Amino acid sequence: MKSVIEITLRAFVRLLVAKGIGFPDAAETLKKLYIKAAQDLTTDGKLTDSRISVMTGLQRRDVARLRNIPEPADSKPNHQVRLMALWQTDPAYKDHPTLPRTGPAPSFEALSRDIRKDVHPRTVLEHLLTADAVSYDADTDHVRLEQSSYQPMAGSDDQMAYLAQNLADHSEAAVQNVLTEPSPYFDRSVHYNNLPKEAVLALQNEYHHGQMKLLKALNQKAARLQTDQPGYRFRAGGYFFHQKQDTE
Amino acid sequence: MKRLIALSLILLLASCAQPTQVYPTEPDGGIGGTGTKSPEVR
Repeated sequence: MKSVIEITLRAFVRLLVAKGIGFPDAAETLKKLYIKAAQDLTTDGKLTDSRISVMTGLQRRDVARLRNIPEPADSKPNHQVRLMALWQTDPAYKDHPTLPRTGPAPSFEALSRDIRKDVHPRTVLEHLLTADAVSYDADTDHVRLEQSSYQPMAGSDDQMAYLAQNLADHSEAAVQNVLTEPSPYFDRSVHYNNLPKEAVLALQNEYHHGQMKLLKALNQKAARLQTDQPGYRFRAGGYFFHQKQDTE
Repeated sequence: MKRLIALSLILLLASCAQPTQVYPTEPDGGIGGTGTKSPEVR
């Protein structure tokens, strides 16, 4: 089990060090997560500080200090990705890869107002232009959708939010598969070693296109099925990781 | 007349008050991630 911790946390700890999050801060967060895990896994009887201490190996004074600290708020919806999804799925917009910047629907201004009324469409446009998600033709005063998915700027808050949400949901699915019988979630990967670099890059390209085709199909279907009432949420995604093998 | 002015004022204030973004009932969705940009558009 110790090797599982090391393998799964290796990349994440590298991120923490790169972002200047020192061990004391990470350890404090880890203590809170241990307490939360003990609370989640306890379905019977009273969960005293002593019981949490026994379950987690934390000192009682740490349990007493940390157990009632409120959890961080859930992340807010990403309005940029929502706008791009609406542009590609809403009947009023999906056949218009280019929109007039202003004016009644279908226009970028109207689309932006559909997503957020409290942020000026110009601000939304600047954000999307920065991420190369759209382009703007000043001569015609039209905005063109350039990407089918939102890829935030490197190092931006949006990118960090995606990192957290994607990793959190994938690890939640994998952990629940391990802890629950039968395993409730789909989790598969294909993996090979001893391949030439060119072969891996070709496979990556094939995966990229196949994955985007599937994601776009699900995006269209989910957008049609979405309501304005709370219900279930889902996240499904893919990755392709490759690296040079360590021969030492 | 005063009631008309009061009603107008209420309607004006109501129209100025933007709806607060509510989570998690606010619809959310789309495709995004940490990775590189897609090579194709649509």
